[in-house]
Amino acid sequence: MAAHRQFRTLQSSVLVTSLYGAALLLLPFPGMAQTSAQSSSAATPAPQNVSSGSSERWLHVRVNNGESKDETVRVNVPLELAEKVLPSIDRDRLHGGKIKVDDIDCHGVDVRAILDAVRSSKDGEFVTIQDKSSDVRVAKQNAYIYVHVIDKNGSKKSHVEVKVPLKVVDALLSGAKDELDISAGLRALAAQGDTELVSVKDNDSTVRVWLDSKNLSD
Amino acid sequence: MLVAKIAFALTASAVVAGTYVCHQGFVRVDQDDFQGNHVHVWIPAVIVPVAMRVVPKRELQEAAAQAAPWLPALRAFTKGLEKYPTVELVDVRDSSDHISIRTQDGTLLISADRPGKRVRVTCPLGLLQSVSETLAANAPGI
Repeated sequence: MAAHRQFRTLQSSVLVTSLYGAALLLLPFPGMAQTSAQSSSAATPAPQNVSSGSSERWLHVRVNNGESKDETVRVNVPLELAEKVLPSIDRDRLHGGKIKVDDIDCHGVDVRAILDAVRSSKDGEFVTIQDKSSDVRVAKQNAYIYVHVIDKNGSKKSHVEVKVPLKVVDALLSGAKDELDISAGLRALAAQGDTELVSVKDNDSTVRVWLDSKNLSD
Repeated sequence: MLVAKIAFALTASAVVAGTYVCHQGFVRVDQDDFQGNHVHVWIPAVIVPVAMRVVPKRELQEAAAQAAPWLPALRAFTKGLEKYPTVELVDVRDSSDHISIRTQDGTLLISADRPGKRVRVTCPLGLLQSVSETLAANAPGI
């Protein structure tokens, strides 16, 4: 009888331990994930999930260099993360998500005044330069500032296109006179739809900076 | 029978403890070069917060003071990354070198490869957050 009771106790202990162990085993194992991640990172660094929530906005930077495209830079920044981290950095000119511009060397050009002037002016083309070596066009249209540069020097022809939403400019200028509010700029950028901000193309390399809701640049 | 029960209890405890340690993940630093030098450090993440509690207060304050300028950013970064358990943040490669910073299953992975040398660092995000909070608690003025 005593042996039977001991057997029952042992049996219930085994059951409890097994259930507990099974519950733990069903949970994801970061330790194991690290192992698989390590082996995969050696081959191709490809995170699995591609889409993200519709409210999430990502800033992507992609640089391809070299004819064989074997030199690449890929940066994917969640804007929400940048918005949170930026105000916590307190170094040099950057304080509380704002950057001091009063002592930035711009060869005597008042960057803030120029941005303010462009913001308050009507739609139109501000700068048009066409000569043998380059075409330059700066315009304001449909709440965007456009900068197009075509460099025709030599055999290497390059195109530069920059597109900045005016709301971002407004947000950048929303701080004190001697500072640019980068955090506000990021918030304004996050409110924009999918858009390409910078595109540079020449014979050797391409640079793209764009905004979308995907967490991968490819 | 008593010995069997004790043995069973010890084995079950070891299994449960092992499972828990694996579940919490590891801090790993692996460095290999092709001259035969290999450094592999595996630290169970579960023991790091415990170890920080037994570190002398003065040492911890010294470390916290050194890291102080970057602690708020580190805390914001690790807390913010919780929302992105699997994502590629930075990937830079050329014909010889490759650097990658990403998260996978809640773990931060940093890898750097160059001809003849390879470095991998992995750390669970939860641990980074816990360490940064402990350091912030010991840093003056934060």
